[in-house]
Amino acid sequence: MKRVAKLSLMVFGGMAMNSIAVAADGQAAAEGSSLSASPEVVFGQGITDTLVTSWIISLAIILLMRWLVGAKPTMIPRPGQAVTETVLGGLQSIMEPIVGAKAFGHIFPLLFGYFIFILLQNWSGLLPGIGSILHRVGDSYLGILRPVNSDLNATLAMALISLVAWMYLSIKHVGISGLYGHIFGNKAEKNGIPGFMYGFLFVIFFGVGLIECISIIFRGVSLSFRLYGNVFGGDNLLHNMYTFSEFLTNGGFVKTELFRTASNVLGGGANLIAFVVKYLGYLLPLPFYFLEILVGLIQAFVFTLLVAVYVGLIVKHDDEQHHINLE
Amino acid sequence: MTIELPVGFASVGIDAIFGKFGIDWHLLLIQGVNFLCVVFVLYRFAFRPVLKTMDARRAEIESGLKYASDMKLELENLNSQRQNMIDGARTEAAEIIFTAQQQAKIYGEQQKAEMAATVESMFAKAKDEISAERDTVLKNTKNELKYLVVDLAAKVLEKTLSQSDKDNFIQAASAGMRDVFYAKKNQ
Repeated sequence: MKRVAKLSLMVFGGMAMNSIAVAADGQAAAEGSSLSASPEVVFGQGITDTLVTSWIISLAIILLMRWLVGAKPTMIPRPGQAVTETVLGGLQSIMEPIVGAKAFGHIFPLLFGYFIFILLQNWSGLLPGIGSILHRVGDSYLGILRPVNSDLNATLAMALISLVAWMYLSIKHVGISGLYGHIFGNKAEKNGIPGFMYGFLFVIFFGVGLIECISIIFRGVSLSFRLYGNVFGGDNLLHNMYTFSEFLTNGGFVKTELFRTASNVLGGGANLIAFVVKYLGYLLPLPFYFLEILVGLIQAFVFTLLVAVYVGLIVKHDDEQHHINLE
Repeated sequence: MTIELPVGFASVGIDAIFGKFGIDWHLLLIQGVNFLCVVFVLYRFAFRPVLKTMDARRAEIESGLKYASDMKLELENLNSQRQNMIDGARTEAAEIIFTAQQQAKIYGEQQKAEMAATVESMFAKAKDEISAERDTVLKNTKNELKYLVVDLAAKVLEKTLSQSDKDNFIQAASAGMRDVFYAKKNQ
């Protein structure tokens, strides 16, 4: 119970510190109400804010996992090992039936890696300091830390790796001819239709295969843009909430038309409302943190699940066909 | 390179999209390599050992459960064997008791029959002995009485009896004694 209280204090404290840091500084807000769609170069040699965050969080992930698992996992798990086993065991129980036991042995490091990496990188955007630690570049100040998945380079790189892995596993498990057959092959029953129609269907299925190829290529685009869009959108949402929070905590509410109308109606009571609104402004970003925790988890899961589905579609489909042919 | 979009949309250049989102092949490569490095390290030091431990634990649990199941089966067999042995022993004991009872009964009846026969033979023997003794006693008594009667008669008559007198007296005495004897016996 004490631990839960301590953890809650750390989380809420971190959120509040982040909120206060941004609101007090005001410099980030001065840069505009929305973030740039592309990463900013903050250091020499083209090192961007997302790259710095990526390295720091990657190192933190490795250290965290090492701390949780320990030097050597034991048969009677320690609390950290139990947490890791629960996560990995849960993922395994979901992914293995999708991918198939045969391919799971090859792809599980990548699937687990996607989930852990994307999840913790997404949640890193909620840490104090991300977006609020500034670095002077020329005449302007730029945040040196930014969630990695709000950079399309990172999400596209992971999507391309998933495509390469898909291709490798497809060739490994079904072979080049099997892959060709899966995409372009005539799936009609030869005995069920006239011969000329069966020949004509080759052309149709080849055309369908070309569309399938485009669809496979666009899997990379959809995977990367989905993750990027969600994380970048969430980052923008938090940024805007901080800006609005700053507006409220600096007494912006009293300058609005709404306050003037309230004053006309309520008189002195409007000042009380302005007082409450001013201090509620500090808590404004808080609900959106919970939203982003959920979005971060869902996006990590969706990305991992889709990669598993893409692999499972060809590997398991081939397994089933073999099974049917044998029957 | 440009993508031609349907009428009503402005044509959008891929380079423009890449520029807008800051796509740069250097960054793409670095991010990819960074991700792969993290995956490799996690796989080497976290995923693989943890999964191996989980598999080892699963195997141990399975073998433990199998052992427990085997032991349970063995216990059931032993219980069954024990019960069979107890039932067998009970049946055997019941048979032994029944046989012993039967034998005891037969022996008892034999003994009874033997005893009865012995008693019967002893009784018959005793009866014969008694009868023989009585006859002997009667015979002796009769003889003694015969001569006693003759002597008594001679003394009473004070004469010497001839042999034919003696025989007549003896016959008469014998008949009288027989009558007396049988009369007493019939009483």
